[in-house]
Amino acid sequence: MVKLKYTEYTRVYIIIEVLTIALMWCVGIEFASIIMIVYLKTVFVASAVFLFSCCDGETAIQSEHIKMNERPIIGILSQEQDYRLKDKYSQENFMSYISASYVKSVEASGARVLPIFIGKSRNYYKELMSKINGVLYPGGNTWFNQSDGYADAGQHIYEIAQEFNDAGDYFPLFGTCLGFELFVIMASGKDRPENRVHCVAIGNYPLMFTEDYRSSKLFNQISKKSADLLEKENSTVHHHQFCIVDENLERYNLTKDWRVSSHSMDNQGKKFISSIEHRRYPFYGVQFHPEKPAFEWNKKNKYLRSRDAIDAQRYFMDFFVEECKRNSHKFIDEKEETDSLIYNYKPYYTGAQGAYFTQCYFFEPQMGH
Amino acid sequence: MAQARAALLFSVVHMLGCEGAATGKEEILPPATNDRPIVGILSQEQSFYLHSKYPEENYTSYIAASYVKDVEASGARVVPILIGKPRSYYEELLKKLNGVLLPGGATYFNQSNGYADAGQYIYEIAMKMNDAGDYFPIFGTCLGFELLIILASGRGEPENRIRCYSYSNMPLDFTPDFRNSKMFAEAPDELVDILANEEVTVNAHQFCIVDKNLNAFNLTKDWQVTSYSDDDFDVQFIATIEHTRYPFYGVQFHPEKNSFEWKLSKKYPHSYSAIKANRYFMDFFVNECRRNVHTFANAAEENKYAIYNYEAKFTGVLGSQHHECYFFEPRGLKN
Repeated sequence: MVKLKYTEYTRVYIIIEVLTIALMWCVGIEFASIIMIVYLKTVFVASAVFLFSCCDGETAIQSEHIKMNERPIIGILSQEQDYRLKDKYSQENFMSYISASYVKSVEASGARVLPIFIGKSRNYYKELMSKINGVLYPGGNTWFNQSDGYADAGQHIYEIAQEFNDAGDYFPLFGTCLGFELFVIMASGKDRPENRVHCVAIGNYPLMFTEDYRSSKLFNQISKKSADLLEKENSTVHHHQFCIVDENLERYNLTKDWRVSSHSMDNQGKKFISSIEHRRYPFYGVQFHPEKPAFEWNKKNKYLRSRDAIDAQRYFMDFFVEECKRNSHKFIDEKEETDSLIYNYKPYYTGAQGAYFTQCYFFEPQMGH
Repeated sequence: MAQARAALLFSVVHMLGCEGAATGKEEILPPATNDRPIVGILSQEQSFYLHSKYPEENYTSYIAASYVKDVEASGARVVPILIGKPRSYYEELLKKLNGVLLPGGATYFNQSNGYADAGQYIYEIAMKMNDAGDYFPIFGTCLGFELLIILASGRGEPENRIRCYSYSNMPLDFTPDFRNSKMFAEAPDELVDILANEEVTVNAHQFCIVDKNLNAFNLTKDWQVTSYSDDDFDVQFIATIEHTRYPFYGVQFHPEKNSFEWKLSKKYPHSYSAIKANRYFMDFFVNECRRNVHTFANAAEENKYAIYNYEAKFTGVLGSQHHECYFFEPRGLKN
């Protein structure tokens, strides 16, 4: 493309040059002078072109700098087996699970998934994170004060991701519902009382965007159509008994690091934070469940599932996967990669058993324990 | 006086409005109100390659999981449709489903009791439903698209498609009136620009439908071509098509591969723009299926048919072009 442009420029230049020479000759300028003028002009143009192409090259190198990784792999953190699922699979006694809707919504945005287990050493998380491009903390039901569970694994991942980013290695995190709460609680300091409040948020609510939400990283690219839908309709799916409110941020002086981009209102009219992002790190959290409308089908739960609503919800994983494409970590070889992916596990049709989730992945059965 | 003038103005506007509707080929579509759509995906004869990987199971048929994921991502659930069944099986099932996707693949149409026979039943039953005012959409991808045209041509010999060689990522060359189609009437400009200018549609086919295939069987009245692409030897083939009366749609490329297929050597475009543009097609189709109100008798019956009862196997690791596949009806080793 660029080559073609240069040949075209060159052709035009030569034509103009020939015409100028002809004109100068007609006017009666001396032959030696004509040669001098042409020589000087050529030198001038050549150096201009050189400078120009030089700068061109530099911008090219800059954009190469954020060359997107088009084969991103995202880790999804598992969590303690859900108490509602424990009874249904008591024989297998699984250690942990991931609801398949998270896997599907990451895949639908053009990434592959690998499960991250709980109860491992810090080394396991560090090693794994050096090979993947971002981590999603799903929602769920576990408690943060259990040892060797979701919260401990989440803490390792959070700290390692901070180290990576501090060292200039762009590593994004996304927290949904419980994952979002965990971010704020970790940022508040793990040894302090849990920095969240009780609330009753079971329903579908609109987002109340902050005034400057458009300048946040999370919502910078959202289409007007999707933003309008999220703002005007009962579109975001909430299922939580804890909320993070503005006072939680203020109490622990977190407003310097964390930027709120929207609030929502719970069933009792309490205003809570529904989306947030870290100001320096690529860490994002939403209190609602963007993965549910397209992928969860329990009849008891009514979601807004119109074409436009589905499109608005997937904006969040689209955004996150794009963020992860800026990370270039990879596995040593294809075998190591395929061995780690979630496709080595089979989801159970938990929805047929009346479970809240349509499909779930289960890990590490503890038979006989 | 003011009232009379207002009434006059109103009736003029109304008449203009009617005229507007009459000039477009706008028919009154049923509203897209079914927000729990269930889409059937037709399975096909087990592929030769995959059979060699699962010789003992000797499966009858398969579906590449990328089709399932693509439909799910647009907000629908999936039910697999098996091949080799009597017409009544397809009739019963279509009464419960909201639309059918005919996926791509590599089977031949002249085999009995396979993809083509099942496809023909589905095509005929869907026409009957639509004729009776029961809006029932079909979407054909690649081989499924070719099958739609061959069925419309009467499925005689020689098959109404030509040999070609198309294994590249291509842009779409839209026809001048492509916006005057159901598929693209409301497509956002941003996505149309991507499709028209970037090499984002994945082609993998050795047969093509070209204009002369439509002309030879007088199909241009019933089928509207909305875009073309060129094969690797510059043969111009039809890339997207739709039926002018029925909600039947076909695309020669693979919109499901961009997000969900990962075989490295295939060089599928995974960029954000490629993913956005390609998922438009299942978004459109699933929304068409929302216009159909068929349902299963109850949740238990729904559960029984759902694809969730089958487990996808990780075929990518075996070297297949498909990352994951569902397999159906193992026949076991024959003696």
